[in-house]
Amino acid sequence: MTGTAPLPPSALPSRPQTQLHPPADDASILQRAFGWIWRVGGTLDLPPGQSTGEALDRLAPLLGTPGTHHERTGDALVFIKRDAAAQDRLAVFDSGVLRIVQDADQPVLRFDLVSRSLLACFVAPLLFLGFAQVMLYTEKRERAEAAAEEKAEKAKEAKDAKTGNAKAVGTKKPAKKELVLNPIDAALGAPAPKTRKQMAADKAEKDKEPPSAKPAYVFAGIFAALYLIGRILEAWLAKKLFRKALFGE
Amino acid sequence: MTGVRVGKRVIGAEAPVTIGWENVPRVEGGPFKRLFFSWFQPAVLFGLLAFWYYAPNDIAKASVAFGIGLGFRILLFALEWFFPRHDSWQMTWKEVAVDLFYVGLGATILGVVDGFIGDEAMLGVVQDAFDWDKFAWFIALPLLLQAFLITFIFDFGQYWMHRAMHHWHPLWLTHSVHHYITQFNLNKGAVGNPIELFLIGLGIGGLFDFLPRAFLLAGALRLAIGVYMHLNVRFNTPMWWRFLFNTTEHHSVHHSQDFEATRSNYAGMYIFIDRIFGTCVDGEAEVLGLEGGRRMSIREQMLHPFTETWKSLRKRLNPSVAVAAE
Repeated sequence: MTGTAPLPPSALPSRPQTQLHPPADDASILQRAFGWIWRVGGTLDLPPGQSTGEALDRLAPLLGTPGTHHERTGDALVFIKRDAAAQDRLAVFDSGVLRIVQDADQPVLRFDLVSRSLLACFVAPLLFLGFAQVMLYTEKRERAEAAAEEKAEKAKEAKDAKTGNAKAVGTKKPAKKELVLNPIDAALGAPAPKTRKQMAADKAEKDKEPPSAKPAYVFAGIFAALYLIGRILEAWLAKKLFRKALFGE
Repeated sequence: MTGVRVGKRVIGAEAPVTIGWENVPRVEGGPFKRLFFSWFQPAVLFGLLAFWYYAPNDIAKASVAFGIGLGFRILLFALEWFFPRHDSWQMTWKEVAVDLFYVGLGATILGVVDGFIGDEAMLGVVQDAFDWDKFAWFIALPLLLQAFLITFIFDFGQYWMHRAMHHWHPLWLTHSVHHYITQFNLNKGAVGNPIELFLIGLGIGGLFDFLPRAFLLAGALRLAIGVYMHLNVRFNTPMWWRFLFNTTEHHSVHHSQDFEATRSNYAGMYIFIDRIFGTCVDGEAEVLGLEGGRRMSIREQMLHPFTETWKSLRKRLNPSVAVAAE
């Protein structure tokens, strides 16, 4: 039992009021300077003798996936996607233009694709670095609070001992019992638990370590690497997909 | 689609669901491949239990458990890549990135929030208020029994929380986000609205005292049983395992597009809890997700409980406006 159920009409991107626009050459300075982060472009030679109409006919089925709306405007296919299916091979791109242009000696496909996913992945390391600061701050605060609590308790104990407040001294919690293994585990050879003294030493050792936000730094690194992989991989996959469609491979 | 009667219910009337183990495909191929995919799960489970049971104290620590968990997940990631259960669940760059975003949230900022208002913090307040120490009822029990109790107490609570999420609209609004996933992968369990992830993580295990090694053994149980819930790999899982533990098959039924099927298999690890309460359905599904398999963006996943609450309130307060807006 396989197959993907069609999306309900409400899930499809609504037809735009105006004709779809390509992200044109008159882009702002910001887009020109930083557009490479979220835009993937390139060119591909058409097979010899293939006309513009034929090329667009071959490319159009790639945009016939659920959640994709596309229009043919002269020599170009313009598309937008919303909630693209996970297995949509262009799922990472939210919009784009596939235009057939005349290069020096032959027609070529020039594609320009926009991906919010790539942009989000590019920004994600900054988000996780922000989380790192929050983690460091909260850990420092917790440690300071714990230290202050411990200090106050010790001061109280010292005061009680000094003033001879026998009642208060008597309420001190008894030392915890040592942990012991169940006889079955002891017979099967499981190692005995650490003594309370060893556990206290481990805790003291751990407390000496400076506050850490390692997970946040690791994820910042992971997303930086993911961005680089995605930026290269998705551009390559898109080009491969277009080539296969144009050459009928 | 007629569906199949399971107890008093008809499963699979709205969307394809395979019912019954005899109808679930098995791993095919050479003898080594079949051997590997038949024995992998029990071998990992018993191997991990033996390791943590006998590991010397200087090895039996959380950092080693983290390393083993990470290594095991990398292995499963590779298995998903080379031996996917369904091609329609094949990993893509976007799916990996989205899943890791949620894993990252869980490992960082949600952990911080949990430290302030999570179950440990809440139980701490209760214990302080009544001057309770932890209940040491279980500490003298055999280690494996303690490990089972740690996981069972949590899973039993999770079963009822999960079931409540499917039957009470306010909780469903938070949990429904997780049901918009349209395919299974290793990290899909982490995908969901943060409110739901917080709620489903609540437990009362913190009230009880256990030996430190029992926690490591419980972690091994959780890893070796729970990790398969959202995995895109097919195994020839033994029948005793399918009877006791939750599997990808069980959980895929829970995530299918068939409404009745989604109201089954609530337990996280121990499917026998579902068997006890009559909510277990043995089978599998490939076509997953809500709204016919509409994939939700991260932005919508974050906002969904709030926007839906707002819509519900508007509808309740002023039905005529709500109808007009629709």
